[in-house]
Amino acid sequence: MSHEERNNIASLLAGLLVNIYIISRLANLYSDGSLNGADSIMVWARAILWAIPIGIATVIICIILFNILFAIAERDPKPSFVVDERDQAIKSYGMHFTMVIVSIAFFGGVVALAFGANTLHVLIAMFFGFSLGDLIGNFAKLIRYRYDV
Amino acid sequence: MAKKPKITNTIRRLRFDADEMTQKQLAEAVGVTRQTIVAIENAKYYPTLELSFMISRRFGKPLEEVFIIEFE
Repeated sequence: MSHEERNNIASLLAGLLVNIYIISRLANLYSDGSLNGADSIMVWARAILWAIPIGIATVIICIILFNILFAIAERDPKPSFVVDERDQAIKSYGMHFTMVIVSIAFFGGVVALAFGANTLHVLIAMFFGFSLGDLIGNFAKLIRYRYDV
Repeated sequence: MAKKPKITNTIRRLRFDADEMTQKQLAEAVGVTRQTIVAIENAKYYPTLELSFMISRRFGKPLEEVFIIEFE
């Protein structure tokens, strides 16, 4: 398994963990009524602003841990950190999927707002659309790494 | 519409002829991962022109002897 493939799997796991955290955080905010008041968008924005650094830290920690675990499992004290042109091609392939999903989420959100949907609900849906785009992009890269399709 | 040509290669045989060079050794010589060499050998990934020339040069062969284009 190459360095970038390991990082991709770690990013995929971190993305899932961060989404679980955000869902649980939003569920708590809904249950205690914080997202039902007049300042609901501000409460949501603060929750998301916190989620961004938590997400970045989770990805970094997952990548470090996964690389350490992989080195131990492979009994390789000097794992390769080479990133090559195939990694770049696969990264670009995954990015296409991410961009398509993110664009659909953004456009869908704008259309929903144009038809009078609740702003907070649209923002939450758009954010999850972006997050889903990232997950699908990473998953597409994983498929490409594993099966070269 | 013309069919897409298939590009095969003789890397596996060239490695064998070069004192049974391993995929890892070739990968390190041309600065890519072993997985990329595996993918190239299996014609699952077509390398860039730059990498193709580097692989050919490593074996001391012209490009056409390492990579073969097949029109079906």
